[in-house]
Formats: sequence, structure tokens, C-alpha cells
Amino acid sequence: MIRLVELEKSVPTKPSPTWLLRRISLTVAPGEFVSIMGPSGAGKSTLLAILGMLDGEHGGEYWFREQAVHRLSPKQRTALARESVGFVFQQYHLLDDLTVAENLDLPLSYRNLRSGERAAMVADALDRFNIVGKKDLYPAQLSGGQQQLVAVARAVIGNPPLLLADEPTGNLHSEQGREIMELFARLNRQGTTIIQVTHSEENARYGRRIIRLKDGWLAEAGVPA
Amino acid sequence: MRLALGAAPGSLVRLVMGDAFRLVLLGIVAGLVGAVAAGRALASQLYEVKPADPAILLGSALVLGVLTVVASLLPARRAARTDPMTALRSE
Repeated sequence: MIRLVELEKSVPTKPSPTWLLRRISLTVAPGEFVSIMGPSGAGKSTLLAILGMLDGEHGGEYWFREQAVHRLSPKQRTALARESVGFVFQQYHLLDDLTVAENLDLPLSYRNLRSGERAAMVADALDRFNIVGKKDLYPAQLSGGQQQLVAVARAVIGNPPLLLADEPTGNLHSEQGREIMELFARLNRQGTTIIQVTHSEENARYGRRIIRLKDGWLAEAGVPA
Repeated sequence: MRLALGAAPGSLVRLVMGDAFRLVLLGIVAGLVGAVAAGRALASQLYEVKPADPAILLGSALVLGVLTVVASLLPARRAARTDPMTALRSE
């Protein structure tokens, strides 16, 4: 599904550029659940942003389902990401002035879908994630765990083949975190490819493979202990 | 956040400018109603000025509309050009 070849990322600083990622080459097969680990500043979130096509300014090659992402224009990249990638963030990033149902509808509103189709998909997601009773509430009226549940529902509502998560349980207490990880495991069993950034060895064990980064370099790849 | 969810930059420009225009439209309607009412109340004291001159009322609304475009275009374009990752990190 994903193939990175000698991927590099730097930011311009004086006297020399600061390297965030160095010569990253890896593949992720469809249906995998991969955890990216490493100390702060290792380049984990930068790598996730590139995989999520939010950042197109990098060197090397990024192939997604045989498409050369590194050759796409920003507009083409956004269109591909819209159809293919769901993102879950540590801070949930729900829109405060929209209800749960409106937040779920947001990514669909940027797709070429009829309003009836969108409403059906929102209703299905509310049902699937057991949040029908919360549909008219605003994010501030929900607990952290419930907000992250809505964020996951929003990320997968369009059935993207790839789900990316950046420290998805970082702001949750352990029980809520476990529930979110169980949800990820279930989505993965249903066929969604998942790549998560995590500091937690326990969360990484939900995945089948761990990729470790250090100072922007791929330090090690292996299976969870 | 909207950019990270797949919004095209153009749709953000429309969103920001649409919000600004909705507010200004409310202001224009309220202002016109107020101006006509005040004009009528002051009609006896006006000299060589109509209490509700359509040209003046429409001209004022037009100036306000143009000012709205000028004032909202810059933040709208800035929002559309924001790097999603920078925006997400700063929240």
C-alpha cells in the first residue's frame, strides 16, 4: 500500500538545514497495523504528516497504492488524501462550534456526495460507534474519551483505506485509552490499514510491527514483544 | 483543521468571506431600517435632504460591501494558505 524510498525532510536553518527525516525507506502492506515509536524530536509526527499527505515538501519517493505521491501537485495530493486517509490526533481537533453529527459530516462535505448520502453515512457512523444519543451535543459537552471516539468516527466515516493516528491516547486516562486501542484493533481486523505514532509500548503491542525512529533515521523495525 | 480534513483552499476563502458577508448583510439591513426610521423622525428638521434618499442608502450599502471584501479577503487568503500541520500544532 505504502512504499517510501529514501524519504528525506529538512527545514531551512542557518548555517545548514536541519534534517527531520533521513533516508527513510519502508513499505506498509494493506491491512497492516504499524506503530511508529521513538523519542521526542525523532521525526515521528513529521513522518506521519508526510504519510497523511499533509506535507508534500520532502525529498525521496512516496508511493501510495502505486501512485507517485511525490509527483502530485498540492491540489492532486489533497484530493488523494481526502479519499484515502483518515487522521486521528492527540488533541482530538473536533470543531467546537459544530455538533457531533456536524463534525462527522465535515469530511464528507468536502467530497462529491449528495446530501442524502452524507446523512445516511453520518447516521451509520453514529450507530456504529454507539454515539446516536450524543449527535446533537457539542464537543465541550463530551468527555475526552467520547471526543476521541467521535474523532475516530470522523476519521473513518468515509471508509478510507488508511488510518493515521498521532498519539491517539495521549490525552486519555488508561481505561479510555484501552477502549480507543481496542477500537483501532477492531477497525484493523475489518481491513483498515493503521499507522500510529505512540510513546506507549502497551499501545504499540496492538500493532503487528514497530518502526523505531531516532534523530530522523530509521533506527530499527521489528515485531512487538 | 478543515484543510487537514480535505477542504480545498478555495472553499476556505468562501467560508471566511461568507461569514463576513452574513454579518455585514445583517448590519446593512438593520442600518437601512434604522436610517429610514430616523429619516422619517427627523424629516421636519431636514433642509434640501430627502429623509430616505435611495441613492445615498444604496451607496452606503455598496461602500460597506466593498469594505467587507477588502477586509475579509486578506484573512480568508491567509487561512487558505495555512500549512495544516502548523495550524494543528499551534492549536
